[in-house]
Amino acid sequence: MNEKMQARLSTALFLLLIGALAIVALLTPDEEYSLSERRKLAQFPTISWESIGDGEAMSGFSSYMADQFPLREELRAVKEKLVFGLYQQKDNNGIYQAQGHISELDEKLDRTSVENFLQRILRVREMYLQDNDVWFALVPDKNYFLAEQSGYPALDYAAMQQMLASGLAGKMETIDLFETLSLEDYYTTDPHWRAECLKETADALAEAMGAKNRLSDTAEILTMPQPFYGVYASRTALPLAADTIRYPMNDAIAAAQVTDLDRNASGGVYWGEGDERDRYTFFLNGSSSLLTIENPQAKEKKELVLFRDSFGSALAPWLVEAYSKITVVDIRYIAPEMLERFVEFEDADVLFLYSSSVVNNSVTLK
Amino acid sequence: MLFSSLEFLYAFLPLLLLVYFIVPKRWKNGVLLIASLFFYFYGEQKRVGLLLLSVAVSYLGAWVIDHKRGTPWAKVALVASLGIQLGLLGVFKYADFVISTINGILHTQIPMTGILLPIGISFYTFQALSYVVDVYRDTVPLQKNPLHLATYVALFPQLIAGPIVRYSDVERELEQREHRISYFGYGAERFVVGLSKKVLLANVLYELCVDFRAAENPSVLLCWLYAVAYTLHLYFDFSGYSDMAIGLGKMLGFHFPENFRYPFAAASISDFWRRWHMTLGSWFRDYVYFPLGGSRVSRGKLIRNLFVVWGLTGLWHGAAWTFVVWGLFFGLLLGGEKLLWGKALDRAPRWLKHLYVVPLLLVSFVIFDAANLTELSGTLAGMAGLTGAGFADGTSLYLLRSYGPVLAASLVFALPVVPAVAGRLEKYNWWPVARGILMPLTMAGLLVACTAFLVDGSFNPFLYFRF
Repeated sequence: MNEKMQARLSTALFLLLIGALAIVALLTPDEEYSLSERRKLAQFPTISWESIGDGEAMSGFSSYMADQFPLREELRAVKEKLVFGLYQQKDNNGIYQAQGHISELDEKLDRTSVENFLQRILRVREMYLQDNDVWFALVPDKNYFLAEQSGYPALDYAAMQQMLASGLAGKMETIDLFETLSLEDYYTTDPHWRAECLKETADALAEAMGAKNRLSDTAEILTMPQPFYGVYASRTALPLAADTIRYPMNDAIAAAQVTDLDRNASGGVYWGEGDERDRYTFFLNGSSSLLTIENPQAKEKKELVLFRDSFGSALAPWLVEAYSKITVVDIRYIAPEMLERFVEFEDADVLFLYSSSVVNNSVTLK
Repeated sequence: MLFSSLEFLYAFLPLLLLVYFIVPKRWKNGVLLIASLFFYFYGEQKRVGLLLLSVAVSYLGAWVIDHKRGTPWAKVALVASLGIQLGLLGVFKYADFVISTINGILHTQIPMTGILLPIGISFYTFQALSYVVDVYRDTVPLQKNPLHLATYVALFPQLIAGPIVRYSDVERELEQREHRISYFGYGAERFVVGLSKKVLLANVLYELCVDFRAAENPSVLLCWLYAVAYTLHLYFDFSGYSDMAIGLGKMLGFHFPENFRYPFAAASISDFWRRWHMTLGSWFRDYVYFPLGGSRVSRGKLIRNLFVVWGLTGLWHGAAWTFVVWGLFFGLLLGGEKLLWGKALDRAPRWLKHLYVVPLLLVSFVIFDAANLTELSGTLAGMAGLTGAGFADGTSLYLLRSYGPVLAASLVFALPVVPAVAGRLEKYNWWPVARGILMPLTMAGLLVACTAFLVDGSFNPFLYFRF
């Protein structure tokens, strides 16, 4: 009797679960975009003899099922709770939480990538910067302040710095930013640094480049009213407190004119409220291959060419006061060969400002 | 299509069950055959013809054997059928292995064929072979209906990763099988247990193996963590698949043979092989080892028989020398147990037997996983502390902390702890009622957890597909 009851209950629950979810999956309208993941979701594949024959229809259907599955976010949260709660694992898909921060494990120093990074930036120097003063600064990602201290494996930052220093010796002057930063200078839900915390960092850069005397000590810190859920927030399904974007403002920043040559758009240093999907785009309009910041209030004509990744977007406002024009270049999106058509290097200071994560994953550089 | 995929669980399976249980009895095999061919085609578009060729060759071979029994034509049909099927297996699985070996030895430049291994070819070929040989031996009757034979060879639950179901196992059920709610309920539970082994344990353990492979110079601790994790991963991956196949079979009215019986509880290597991939072991025993004379031969012939069987067992698992080494490693140990230390081992205390078995198994699965002999020697040197990497580093300690609980839980589930606890509970009157409620609820919870892992993760390859 008990065995019969067990069999009936098991049969009913099994059929109910697979049947109900199958029907819900069939009836639920497909979504086009996942806000939390910041990506387009797979749609039902095109069915043709060709796509069936080469298997594309099948692989497309697999992606479609995974992307459009009902209760997707809730199920991801269940998985994450099991990983941290039941399995007691220290990370979920490489994402970990410690000291109130979310971060991603990136502990393996990719020496080939560092070598590639050096080759890429030295190529730019060789092509355009033989007569310029050129500086390089490495931005530590927040794992430098978080991982090892919280019991997680960490990148060998000293080895990376050593490789960069020896590769750049005699070609660029290296500026050490590590001492100017701490964990509190980074967002809790995002890998980026907080713009409002970068005064000391900007001063260190300006000091090294001889521009410190052109910077004033006055900047008001303003707050964006919208909450900021950083890129790591989308990688975890657990509920999180949002970050707040704060940013420096002074007369020079307020008057500065930004021209985004990539998107053929112009505006200020800060762009509206940023993209709803990624508020960090508030700084210099997000990822752009090439843009200029012109400072009409500059007391003398001095230009800076800033080669950077996304960390540069939040730092550049601090340097606006010191230059009449800053040209901001991202060679992840534009080939260096193209630069001579758009960038004037003569007499300009040149700063390469890159985060350790880009140095360690430099395949993205052109 | 993978059993542990959302499209199988929430599209293929519900639709198949709906159609299968709606149609009249006489159509059920037809539904199963069409579903099985679609299932195979979904993951292997180019090689469905090979599967059907195997069915056709088996059908014709067995037909000639049956109709010409007692004449030389029966033997000709047997040899031809085996030759064609083993020839296809040889070409599609071993051609490039043979070419690269010849090139390596003779320093020739014979170009590789680049033929990709068809999914499940080793499993369905062995099933088809068993049918033809059994008809020749007159231990099973001829299957006159080609659709029934095709349903047997192509039956999706065991088509691509076993267990190796012999025709004699399902001969009666192919034509006359019962569908009971008790079978379905048990089948559903068994399927979800297998799915959980695969998704909730094997896949998680595999992530540790990936971390090991990413390490430049792994410490001794990391090498051993990898050996344990990979061994458990392989067990849960493969036995999970077998559980799912057995469970699906049960839902559809078939009774497939068991394939695993807590192999890590084995007290010797011989005992291990009576518990690990049992259907393959018994296949080689009945179709290779016994025809060669088995154990009742001279010492020299016994050694020959063991090396033939275990060399072939290794090769069956993959076309690489590491698999041959793996097979011969077991051949050596089994020969040793039969001829040298078996009796002493029998008298040893149980803990000593396990102390003997476990390290040998760990080493064997390191051999199994190695991409080549160089990688193998590197890993074994790492385990022995001969690489100069040190005992532990930050990465290995982190991985130990992060995977420690899941490794411990995996060990518990890999040993017969759950049946032992359940056995003790049997004496309580309340247990049957509690079990009747707990088991289905646990099954439902596990299915939701598996679905959550599948929705979240992209990593989900079934390891045994490459065989």
